[in-house]
Amino acid sequence: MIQSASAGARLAAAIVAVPLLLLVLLFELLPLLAVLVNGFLHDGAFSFANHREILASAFQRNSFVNSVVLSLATSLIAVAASLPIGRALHTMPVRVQRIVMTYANFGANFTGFPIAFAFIILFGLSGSFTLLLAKAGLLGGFTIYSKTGLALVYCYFQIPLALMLVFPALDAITPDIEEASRLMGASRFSFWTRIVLPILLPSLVGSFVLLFANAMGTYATAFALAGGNANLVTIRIGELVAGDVFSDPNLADALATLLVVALAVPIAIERLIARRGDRDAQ
Amino acid sequence: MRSEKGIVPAIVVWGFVALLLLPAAAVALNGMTTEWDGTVLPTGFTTAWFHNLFEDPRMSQAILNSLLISTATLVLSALVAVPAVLAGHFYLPVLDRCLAVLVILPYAVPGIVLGLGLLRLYAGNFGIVLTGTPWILILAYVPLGASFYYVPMKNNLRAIPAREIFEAGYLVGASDLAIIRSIILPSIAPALIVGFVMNFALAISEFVYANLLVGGLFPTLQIFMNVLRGGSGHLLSGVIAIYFAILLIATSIVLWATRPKSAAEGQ
Amino acid sequence: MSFVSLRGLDKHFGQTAVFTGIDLDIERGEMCVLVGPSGCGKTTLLRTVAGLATQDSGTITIAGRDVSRTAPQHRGVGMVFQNYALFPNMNVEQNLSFGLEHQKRPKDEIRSRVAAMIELMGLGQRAKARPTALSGGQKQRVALARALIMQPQLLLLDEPMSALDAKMRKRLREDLKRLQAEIGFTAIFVTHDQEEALVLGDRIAVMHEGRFSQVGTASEIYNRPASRAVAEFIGEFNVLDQAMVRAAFGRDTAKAWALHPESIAVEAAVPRDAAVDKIVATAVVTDRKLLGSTVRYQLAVGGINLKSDQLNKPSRALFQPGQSVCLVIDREDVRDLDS
Repeated sequence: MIQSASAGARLAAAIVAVPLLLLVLLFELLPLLAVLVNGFLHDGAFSFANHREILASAFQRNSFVNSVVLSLATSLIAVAASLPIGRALHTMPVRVQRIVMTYANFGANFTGFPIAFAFIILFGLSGSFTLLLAKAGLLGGFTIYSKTGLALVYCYFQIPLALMLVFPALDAITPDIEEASRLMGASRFSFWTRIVLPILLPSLVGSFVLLFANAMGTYATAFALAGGNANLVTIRIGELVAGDVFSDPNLADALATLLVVALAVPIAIERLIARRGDRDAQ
Repeated sequence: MRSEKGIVPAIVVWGFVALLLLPAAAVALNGMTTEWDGTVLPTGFTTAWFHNLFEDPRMSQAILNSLLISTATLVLSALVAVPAVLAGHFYLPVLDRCLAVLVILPYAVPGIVLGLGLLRLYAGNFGIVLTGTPWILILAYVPLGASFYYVPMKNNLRAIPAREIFEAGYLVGASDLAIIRSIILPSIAPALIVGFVMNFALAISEFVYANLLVGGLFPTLQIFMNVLRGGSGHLLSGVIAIYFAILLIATSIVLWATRPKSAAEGQ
Repeated sequence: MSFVSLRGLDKHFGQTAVFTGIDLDIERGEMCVLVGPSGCGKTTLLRTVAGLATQDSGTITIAGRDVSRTAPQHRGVGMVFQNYALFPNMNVEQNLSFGLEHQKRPKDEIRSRVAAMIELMGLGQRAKARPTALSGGQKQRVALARALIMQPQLLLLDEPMSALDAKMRKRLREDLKRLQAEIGFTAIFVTHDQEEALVLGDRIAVMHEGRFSQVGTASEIYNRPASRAVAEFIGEFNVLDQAMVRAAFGRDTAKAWALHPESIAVEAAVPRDAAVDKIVATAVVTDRKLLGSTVRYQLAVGGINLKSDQLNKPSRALFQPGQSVCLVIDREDVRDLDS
């Protein structure tokens, strides 16, 4: 901040920020509020009835379980994969790092129809890879339309996102640290578990939480791949809004509220860890 | 590690990139084949699908709509978000902290949830009808895309370093506005370009809001893809291939914009 | 009335004093150096004079004008930042002309002034280069040029040489002194390097924990340090409190002593003509280092360690570690410290 800025300049700055803040209010905060409030309306009265109804339904509970399991699994895989890829990338010249990171950036955004469909081409019932794997006898019972298939597609955008989040943190593992560790006789395993992981842990946890939230909130990809057949929270919400038979807006909002709550907890924890990490770094 | 670099890291990295590009390549290929069913590689090639696409009025409509929304989002978000980020960085630390929290919002509150809320508010319940028009999308995308400006700009401002340069500008007599216009903005051009492109990419890739709030009334590229879902896979591949091509161009622009300035360019 | 006058400047951060009780007078054309260890408040004080930070109380007067509450743009100061803060999107010429353009000067005047300044600073070869293509020394010169071209009444320099290597620093120090003689600007120069302070400063203010420990000429500060804080910072004094003096020399003194290494003579044996006003003591050599033109001995006297510098004359024999020697000190070479 410019310490000597005049009051007039500060006022002008505040005014300049108003349009964005207004848009945030009107198109992010108020909609969120609307959803939360609406979830509490049942037959015109304010109650938890909607939420109870959802939690009572085994089907709906299952959707949460599925979403959480899918998100946890793909996030863990993504973080685990990002470490060796990140380390390998670190040894490459900066020019290469930039190119790969930029493509990772877009890989992280290749969600929805395009990627789902691409995977169907490759792994669908008559997809190329499906045939290849079948010929090699490795196929097993795998189909892209299963939970495992969904997980595979999720990994496609989760891993690049993990790389983007974790890569900057790898700067902390300098070649000096590595050489020092080797000179002291530590094995590679020791190096990883006792030096790298503890240093990276705060960033890894933070990245994991963001990945988890990202996966939990994914709608388009799952919808594109499995339509209403995938029992995930986001799909159920979409159905409650747009489906003809099942349309119940308040129920949809209650479910959405539950989803937000389910995400708020890990994110709040992540923020606390991040702030403590900043303080430690002082 | 450096002496043992060898071939392994290169394999890992380029393997990763290859896997990343594989689906896109597969789709592009599919858009160019006559027959790719039950075989590992396609059997016949044609550009007929692309021809069909370009003659299909729905396609041109969808592309036009998408480009319209994406460009409008890009422009509006630039006008609205860039000044706000600068205002927070130089004058109002409170605002800066708020913006930092804002960046997390799209993760904490998934699109489907906010989409619901937007539906509740702007589909006529309160007298305002924005749904069904491109406006609901543009106005909803702008705050989402703000974080695509915030992060690169903050990094760039820290690297310059912005505060001392501002003070140096003060002391040679320039006004705040002159310093921002003549020095700060040109110096963070890479960050701004990244923001532009990412906002454009966000708008052109977005499906949830588009499907929920606008649907067939103002079909975007993503909606069009949904429409083609049941039909010919090759046609859909064509559309997706074109979408990937647009994203590829966007990636290249970002790469070019963020290249390190070599010392030689000083002459 | 001096050209620049600081009176009673005070700034607190909670309970801690960033700087307090600052009184300083600087004559026109003088280079005043603020020197002190890191964290003593000197940079914040400099920024306060520039108007980039605000004092809690006190006044700042430049050329007879009270600028205590004036905006930085209107104080008539120029500043060279520690990291130069050159405008990254402009080349050298543009960096220099930026301020003049904002004064709406005629184009011809701007062009000629920029050319003259580039000539003066020896930047002719790099006139069209961008900051990323410049070396550290060149960047520093551009930063200096950019400040000087605005013809400020007071030039402020914030540790401008700290990022440069020793050889470059020596060169730039000489350039700065030469420029000051030629142009005659008044300046406040902040540094943590006491050698730099002694070489550059017409007037030196030694700062310690937010206060001025001593203000004076290089000679005054070096030869007559006012306090322990100054003695421990400037030069390589041996500082002994009263107990240490008693242990080493068997004398009772009212004040602490500061002894320059060069004022402790080392002899093989007690000199026959030891006058009354000479302090004599036996010591053991614990270490010897050849520093080029001087030899530095570490000596143990009565449990106290002392440093002594002797000229490395070829004719003189060197003493060995472990050898017993005699120290001879002139009483008038001893500095009594006030605190």
